[in-house]
Amino acid sequence: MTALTRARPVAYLVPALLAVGLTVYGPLLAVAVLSLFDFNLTTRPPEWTGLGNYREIFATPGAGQAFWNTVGYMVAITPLSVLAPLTAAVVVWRLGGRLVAFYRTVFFLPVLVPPAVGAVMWEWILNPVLGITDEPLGLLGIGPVDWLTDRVPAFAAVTVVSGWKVFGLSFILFTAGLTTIDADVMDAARLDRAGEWRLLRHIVLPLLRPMTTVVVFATVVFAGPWTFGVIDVLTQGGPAGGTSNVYYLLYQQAFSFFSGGPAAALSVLITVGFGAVVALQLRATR
Amino acid sequence: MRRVTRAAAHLMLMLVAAAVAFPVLWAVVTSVKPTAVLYDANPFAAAPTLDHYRGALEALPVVRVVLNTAIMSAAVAVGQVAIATLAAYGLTRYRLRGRRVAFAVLIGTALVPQQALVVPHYLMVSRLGLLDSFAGLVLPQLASSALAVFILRQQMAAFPDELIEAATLAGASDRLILFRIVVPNLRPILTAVAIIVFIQTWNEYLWPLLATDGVSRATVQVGLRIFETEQGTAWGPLMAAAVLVAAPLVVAYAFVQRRVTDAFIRSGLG
Amino acid sequence: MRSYRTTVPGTVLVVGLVVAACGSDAGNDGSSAAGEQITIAFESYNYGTDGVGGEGTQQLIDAFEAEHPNIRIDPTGTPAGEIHSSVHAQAAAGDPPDVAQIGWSKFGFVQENLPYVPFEQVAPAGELQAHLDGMYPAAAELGRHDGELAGMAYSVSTPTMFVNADLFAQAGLDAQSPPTTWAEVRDAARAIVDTGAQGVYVDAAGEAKSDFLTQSLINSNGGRLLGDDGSLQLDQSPAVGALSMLGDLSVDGLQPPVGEAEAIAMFEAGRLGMLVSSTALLGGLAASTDGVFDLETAGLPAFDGHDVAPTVSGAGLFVFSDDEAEQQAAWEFVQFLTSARGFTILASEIGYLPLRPALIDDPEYLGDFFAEDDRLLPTVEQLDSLRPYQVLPGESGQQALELMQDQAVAPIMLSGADPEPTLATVAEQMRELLEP
Repeated sequence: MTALTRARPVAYLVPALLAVGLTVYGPLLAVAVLSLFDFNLTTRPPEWTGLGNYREIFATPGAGQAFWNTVGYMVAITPLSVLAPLTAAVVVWRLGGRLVAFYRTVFFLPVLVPPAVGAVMWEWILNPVLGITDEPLGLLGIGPVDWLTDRVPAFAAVTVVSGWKVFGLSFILFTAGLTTIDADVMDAARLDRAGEWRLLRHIVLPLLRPMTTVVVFATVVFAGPWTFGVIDVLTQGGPAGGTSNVYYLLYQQAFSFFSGGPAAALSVLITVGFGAVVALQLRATR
Repeated sequence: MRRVTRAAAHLMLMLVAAAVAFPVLWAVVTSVKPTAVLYDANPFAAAPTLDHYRGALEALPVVRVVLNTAIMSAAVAVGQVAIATLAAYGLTRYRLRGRRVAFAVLIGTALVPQQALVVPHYLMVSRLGLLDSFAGLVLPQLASSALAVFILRQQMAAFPDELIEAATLAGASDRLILFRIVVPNLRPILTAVAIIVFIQTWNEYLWPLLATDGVSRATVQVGLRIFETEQGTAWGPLMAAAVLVAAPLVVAYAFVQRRVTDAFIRSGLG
Repeated sequence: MRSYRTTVPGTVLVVGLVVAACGSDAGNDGSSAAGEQITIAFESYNYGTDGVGGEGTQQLIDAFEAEHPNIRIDPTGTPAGEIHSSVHAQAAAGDPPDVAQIGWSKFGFVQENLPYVPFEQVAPAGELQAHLDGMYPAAAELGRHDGELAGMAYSVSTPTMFVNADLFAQAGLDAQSPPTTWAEVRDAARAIVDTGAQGVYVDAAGEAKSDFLTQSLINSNGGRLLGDDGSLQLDQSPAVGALSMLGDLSVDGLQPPVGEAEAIAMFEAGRLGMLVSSTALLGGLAASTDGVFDLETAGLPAFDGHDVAPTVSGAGLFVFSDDEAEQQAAWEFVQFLTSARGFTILASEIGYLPLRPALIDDPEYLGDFFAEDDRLLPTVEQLDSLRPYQVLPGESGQQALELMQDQAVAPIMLSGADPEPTLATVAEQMRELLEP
């Protein structure tokens, strides 16, 4: 779309800026100020501590591991949150036919399942004693796995369960993105007798790029919150902090920021840290 | 596409569908299993029963919480899509000084951890006297529209110039272009965004828990917690209740996703 | 009234330090002269839940309202894990509930952050002591902080051993004389494992509330979590011995290395012989195992050469009213909930402990109930040896507690970590957190 220079565009932005100012940045500013205090908002007046809360967060046992796990989840979940849904969306779109509605509904099912219930269903599937995963894994030559009490399997389990929910979300975004591809472009390409792969590489993927950027952004930003709910039900951050991430750490620190300054400090750090990552990412993909 | 390729593709998709649907199907199966065989891996260990559904309906005012959640989620979805559409249009249509900053400010909201905002939101809503009201439930959730703004800006930036130029030449005002040309053409995207916002709001737990008081405004996620008690979790009724509250969503989605599908059947690609 | 326009930006500002500094200013709705109708807001984690917890709580409220027609109870249900935060948010907004049921595991948080009113100020002079007389002393003292009674012992449970009598019979054991020591538990578990089922699971490694079991085990092995001077004793021999026992069970294949929720699922499925957990689970397990297997109970097993010394989990009642008439009404309500009648309903309907020993044989109260269902009795018998639950003090107490559970108890119990060095490391980290 061509950008104009005339007229007054500000009116279009006012509702959005007002909303984020009042309900996100205003409170965030308050949190940032409070992160310099020792406070609880109830039984005692706030007391200035400078950067004490930040020092405390960095000294928290497990903070380093939670940070690296956060990065780890971002990377590990990408195949399930970007590649698989992209492939599935394109294949369903190219196939067409009567099964399209079926696939669209089934792939979206996990998103519709209440989060607490979805994680619980997986908890049963992963229970080593009920042993539902034993037989399928046995076929692959893998012995029984203690999913939730061994570090690596537990990390994998949290990733897969989170990915299971996210898959459908990304799928519907890619599907929506595909609908905006102009029929004429495809027809013209077909008249050129372009093969399926060339069509995909030179037309479909480039046209899907705006949506792909969105999905990658969503993965980076939301991998933390998405995994949080799963961690809470499946592992509570264990074994020994092996599946924790910064959001779970924040939850443990205080659950709600005003249980203490360190949680406020961590909130500020998460915001600023992700801000830096996203800024770099946007610069790279522009 | 060749026949063999098509068959292989369907096979692959079916496998994915089976894997994705398995936990969901199992929840449904569990909801009709008698308590005595709840943990039996064999789904046909005993004749199915509707006892859990009876128990769930007795314990949870299902219609009430589904309606509450639907009202809240619809209000948030409509509100967010409206705000985001206007903002995305403002950001792409005008070469505005500071528009990069404005964009960063809008999508930056996604970076702030929700846990940090819940309590300030509680204090605000309580000062406004809006606790335990739909307005109080909805207002703080309107601004978490980063994803919606981002998606719509991306799509509007890729919007074909010719259409807009033609309209401009015909003397259409900006507002007219937005509502008569951009919005109708982006309908599949707008629908998808609305669906996603709706579902995310539907699944929200912490804020509805704090902002409501008792069942009159309770939402689905809060309501389901009544089966996880200090005396243990009532799995059967929990699964039954989960199926009951998810069913209307699944049906609604099955209908709505046609809008996305129809859009490209019309465009001749289906 | 202020207009909306000035309220919004104003709100944003006050969210910060202003609110923090000015404290509570929201008025309580409805002033109350004596004799007038008065409403008490009651926040509870049992209220409104499915099953016995919700039903029992409703019964308590109904009975109280029938007895006190001028006091109306306005109940709210909030899950146990969130109730302290919910009360905190309301207190920060200046309008906490009048009475709240908050878990003992959050007592440290309550002391630091919630504006509770000690019962010495709530109850008219003399009435408090009279009310506490007749309760188990260890229970009555649970809620004492800085010499004042902050919380009243209410929905309290203690460790018990649930036994699958069917698996016992299959293994040639008698569920009517269950193991009473850990050595006997090992033998029984071995016999059960030999039949192909799982032996025993000690629910000590859960994140949130299981630390009361950790404490109970350390106490029962002749130690304490905190010494008289408040020093942490997690790395001393009673604790090392208690946790080694837990680890050995898993290493020897007698205990499945799974999380709390999975273990409970296994027990409900009839695949686990013994589950050592809280008596709070009794009501739920009785319902879910009905028709699956025969459920029996036993007391917490003892370590050889020591008496059992369990502590408690569960919750106390805390009062937050600042208005005198409301405090008076809140006191009436708390008194009723923890009276002979209150504990009768709590024990017989929900399965919490009757904290007044006189009720147990009294046919007017629980006599008939226990004659019919004796599954709560083994733990009632161990109430005489009850030890107070120890709260890890200070702002970081809760963090230290979770560190103990996540980094010491769970790895030793489930992942084969070596108890002595693990406890030494974690105790050192905890001491740093607990330093004032």
